[in-house]
Amino acid sequence: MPTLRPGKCRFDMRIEPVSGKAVPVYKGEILRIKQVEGGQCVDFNCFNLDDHKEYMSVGHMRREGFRTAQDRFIWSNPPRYRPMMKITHMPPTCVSDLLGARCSAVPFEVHYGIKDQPNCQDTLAEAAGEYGLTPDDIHDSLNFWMNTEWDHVGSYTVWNTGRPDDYVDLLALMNVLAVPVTCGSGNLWVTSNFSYKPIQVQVFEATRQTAAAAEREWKQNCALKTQRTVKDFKNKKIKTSPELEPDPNYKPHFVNFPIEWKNIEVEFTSEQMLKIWDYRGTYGDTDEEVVRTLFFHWYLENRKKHGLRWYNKRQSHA
Amino acid sequence: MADKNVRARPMSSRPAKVTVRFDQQQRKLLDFLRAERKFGSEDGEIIRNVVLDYLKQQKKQTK
Repeated sequence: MPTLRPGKCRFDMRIEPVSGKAVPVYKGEILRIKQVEGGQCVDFNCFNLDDHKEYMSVGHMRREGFRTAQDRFIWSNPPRYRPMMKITHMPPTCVSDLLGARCSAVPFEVHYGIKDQPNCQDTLAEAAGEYGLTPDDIHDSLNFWMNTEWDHVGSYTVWNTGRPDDYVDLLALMNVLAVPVTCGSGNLWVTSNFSYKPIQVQVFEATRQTAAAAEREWKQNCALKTQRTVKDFKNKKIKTSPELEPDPNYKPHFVNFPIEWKNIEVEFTSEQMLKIWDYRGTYGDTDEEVVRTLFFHWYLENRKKHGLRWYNKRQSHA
Repeated sequence: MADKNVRARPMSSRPAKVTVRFDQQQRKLLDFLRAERKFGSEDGEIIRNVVLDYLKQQKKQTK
């Protein structure tokens, strides 16, 4: 994608420590999140402005890697699984995180005995509350400038490498409610180098170039039959009561249920069988398991479509 | 006493038939390959040829 030139700045706000702002960003517009002093972790939520049941799925973004990066997408929750925004600029000093979920008040009470520690769950909820969303609507964050690393035990955070004036640009591919907040844990954890700093949030109007880019990306990444929206749902009614009670008349329609099995006889020469037996123990314990596994390994390596968006080849057996 | 590290091998040189269970979704992949007309037309033939091609590819990689 060629470098996008943002249009006129229509929104410009300094977000002070432990606060945030819910900002509508319309298709073709660019949201810019900028460091002021550097070293400040930014938690980010994103909702479809026209239907808040569609929101960023950090879990599904994580399927592309434990960090996101420039030229990748903010994906929404399945079954919609649509591109909400595209990251069009992200400097190497902005390490992103898809593992840390979002900080909440609970660990601070557990770890420090502090019961009123600012935290991203509460900051996001307060910011998004302007649009009628409740604390339960807050979802896991995409964390910008959060230097997470991981090992065989789990993830942990190290020194924040964000520099003053670092910025991330996000091109809106649909109308979204973007909610960037300054992370509330960064004074007691290393997330923001044990000190709060402000950030700057700006929205740039769409230009002919950014609008065309947004439309192109939308068309290229939102044309699958399986990206289902409300019109495809059997039950379109949004549940408003909190209690869960069974519907006695409900009948689930599971996809391709029941599974129909077929036994297929496959003939091999004894010489071929000897080669197949070499895979016993690693590709299965029985001849059937080994033959089926060899078939699928071949298929995944030779016929699976590897788009830029889903998995790299190394992950193809996942 | 038999060496536990030695895997069992077929005793005689004779063809072997392996019965493999595929579900309807897995069989869709067989249909895609059937349409290519490169691996055969019968399900068993396609599976055999694909498995043999995989073994060939692996042999090349380890060379």
